Amino acid sequence: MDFSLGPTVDAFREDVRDFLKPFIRVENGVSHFVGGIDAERAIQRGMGERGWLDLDAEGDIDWNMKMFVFAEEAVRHHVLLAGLATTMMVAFTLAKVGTPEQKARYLPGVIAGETRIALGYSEPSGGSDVAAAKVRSRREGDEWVIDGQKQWTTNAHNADYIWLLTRSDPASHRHRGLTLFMLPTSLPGIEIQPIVTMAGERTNAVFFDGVRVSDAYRVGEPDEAWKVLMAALNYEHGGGNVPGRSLNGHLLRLLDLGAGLAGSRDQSIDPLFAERLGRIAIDAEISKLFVYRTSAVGAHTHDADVLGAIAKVFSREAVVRASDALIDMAGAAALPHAGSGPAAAIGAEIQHMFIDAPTGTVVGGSVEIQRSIIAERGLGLPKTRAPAPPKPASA
Amino acid sequence: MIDLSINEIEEAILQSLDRALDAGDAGDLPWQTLVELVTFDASMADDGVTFVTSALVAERLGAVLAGLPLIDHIVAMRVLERAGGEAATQRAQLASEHALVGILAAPEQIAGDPEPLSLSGAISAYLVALNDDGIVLHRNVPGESLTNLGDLPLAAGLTGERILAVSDPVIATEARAERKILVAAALAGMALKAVELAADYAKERTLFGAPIGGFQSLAHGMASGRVHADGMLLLAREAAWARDGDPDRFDRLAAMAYGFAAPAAGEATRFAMHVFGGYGVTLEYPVQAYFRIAKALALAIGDPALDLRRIGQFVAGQGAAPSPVRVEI
Repeated sequence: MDFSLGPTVDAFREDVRDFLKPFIRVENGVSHFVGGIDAERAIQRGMGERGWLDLDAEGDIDWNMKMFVFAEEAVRHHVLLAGLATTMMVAFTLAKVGTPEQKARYLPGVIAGETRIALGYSEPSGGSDVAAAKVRSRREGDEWVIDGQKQWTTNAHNADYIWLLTRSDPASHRHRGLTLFMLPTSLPGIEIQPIVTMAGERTNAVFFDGVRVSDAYRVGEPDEAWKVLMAALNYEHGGGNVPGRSLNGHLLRLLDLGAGLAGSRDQSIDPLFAERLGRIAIDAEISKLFVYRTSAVGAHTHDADVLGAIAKVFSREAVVRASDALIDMAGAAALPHAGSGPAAAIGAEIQHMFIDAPTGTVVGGSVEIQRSIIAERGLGLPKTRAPAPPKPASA
Repeated sequence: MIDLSINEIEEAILQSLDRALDAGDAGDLPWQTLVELVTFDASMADDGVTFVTSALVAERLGAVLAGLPLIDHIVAMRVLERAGGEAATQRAQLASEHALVGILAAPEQIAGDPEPLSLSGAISAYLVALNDDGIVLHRNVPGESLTNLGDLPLAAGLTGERILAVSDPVIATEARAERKILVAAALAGMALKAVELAADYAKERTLFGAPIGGFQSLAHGMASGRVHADGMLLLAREAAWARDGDPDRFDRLAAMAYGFAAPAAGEATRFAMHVFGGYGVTLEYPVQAYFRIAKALALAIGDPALDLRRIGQFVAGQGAAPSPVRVEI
């Protein structure tokens, strides 16, 4: 057994820190991600130029660990890369299931860091229940016509494509009758409206009004999207080996801030304060180990979904727990949105992490969905979600 | 480079361990065979037998709730070997006798001033006392155990003559850390097994016309138990690996492994017991033993909050200015 990253990955960490430096402004020790969407694009392009977005390396432990290190460094400095993770999940899936023409059309752009893809699963009526998709697709000759609304389509405003799950057979139920598209966001009839979270993050509602798209943009067989979707969800649920997503970076950042809080007290560390920091350190360590494990097994072993779910439940809830503890420790310093001086800067950053944390237990499959995966596929328990009654055929 | 697999020799050791444990029942284990199996020399590292192997053994003992005194035996034999000189010579003698050796140490706790305890004092032939200034090897006279929460062969104090002493506070501290890691590994094994027992029961037991394992409040509670048990397991293994693989972090990882495992094992085994309803708290069902022994083991080691405190002090100690700093954990 070996828990060391090894010299290659350790050296890569230094490359990553140099690479990210221009995108981080440090004020009073507090990091700010500068540049918004432009910076996000520049980072993705820069990764492409360096050959880091290597789709052939998917499943390779060395590359997985490099991407783990990349995400840890990025998230520890609030470098937002939501679009990178969704792009790579879809690209991995396309590399497995796409036609040769589709691979040639989409993948070179992803590898170069030029193409961005948003996930179009959730709808206003259901997020966690992916199979309840209602957005309608109708075939008309060589084209499809798409109508309906997606919700929580993060990064759609910055994406070239939406990986869109639609219901092509209205008489179908649940997992049947679904069709997937790589829908170009430039097509007429698509309207993207911002939804802003309390933490200041933008996600979107996307409306489709008679959008016409060529059949060439369909992925997988018509009405048979579920198989393709399962492959894509494996990457989403598979834990930590998707570039751009970190399960331990937030916790490390909270520890950095905690040490700053402690350093600002001109006295020995209060035992209660130390105990809370100790718990955050343990949570950060375990979150890291869960990513090591999912990276080591890859996304395709029989229990990859269970191991990924375990990683996600633990680390997302740990961030909630840790930010909750830290904001109490910071006290009044974390009450204003901003302020002058180092103590106020730490307080404002902790406040931000506190209001950002609850999103983590919802996005990408809520922790309830993850627990059901663990219970059903990991412990062999019966289905924990009651099946919906069948739809009447006349619908 | 990351490799989380169990090697061939470890697989073989675990299989032999299973066979030996199966051969006896809880009250009548083939101790000589077991002791021989888990007496590892430092020279075996070249073959792939390291402290990680000891952690894997501890996991297995926890899962079957048998042979737990072997944990202290492993730690005792390691500390004698490290002490060198006469201690190492004595150790070779003990190894050839296949004698069970225990550890005598005072639990770390805030309340009171506890006397030194041995988890295997009622059955061990020798005891290694861990003191502030070093270690002392004693003969031990097995006898009645103190009745206790976990029905462990627990004894307090010393009953036999002193054989030798080694004045070296470092090796005693290291032995305490090793003991925490192996106990954490055993707790992980217990938690995993208790959750498995609960899940098996919940598949069969029906209420309101359905297996209770399909009820989310129970299923999700068991899922949480699995999450925490896996966390304990990985952290204990990492800490064990750090003994040779990352010595700078060894102490901290030992504190983390134990500081996490002790409360988390309590929670996971308690919920597993709860799944059995009223049956869970009866002596006919083994799940209650997991709950009791998890706590009993932890009480003999110490209050996990003290380890959280140590880790937190290490983190906070890196903060010098009123600004965030990039901390190491």
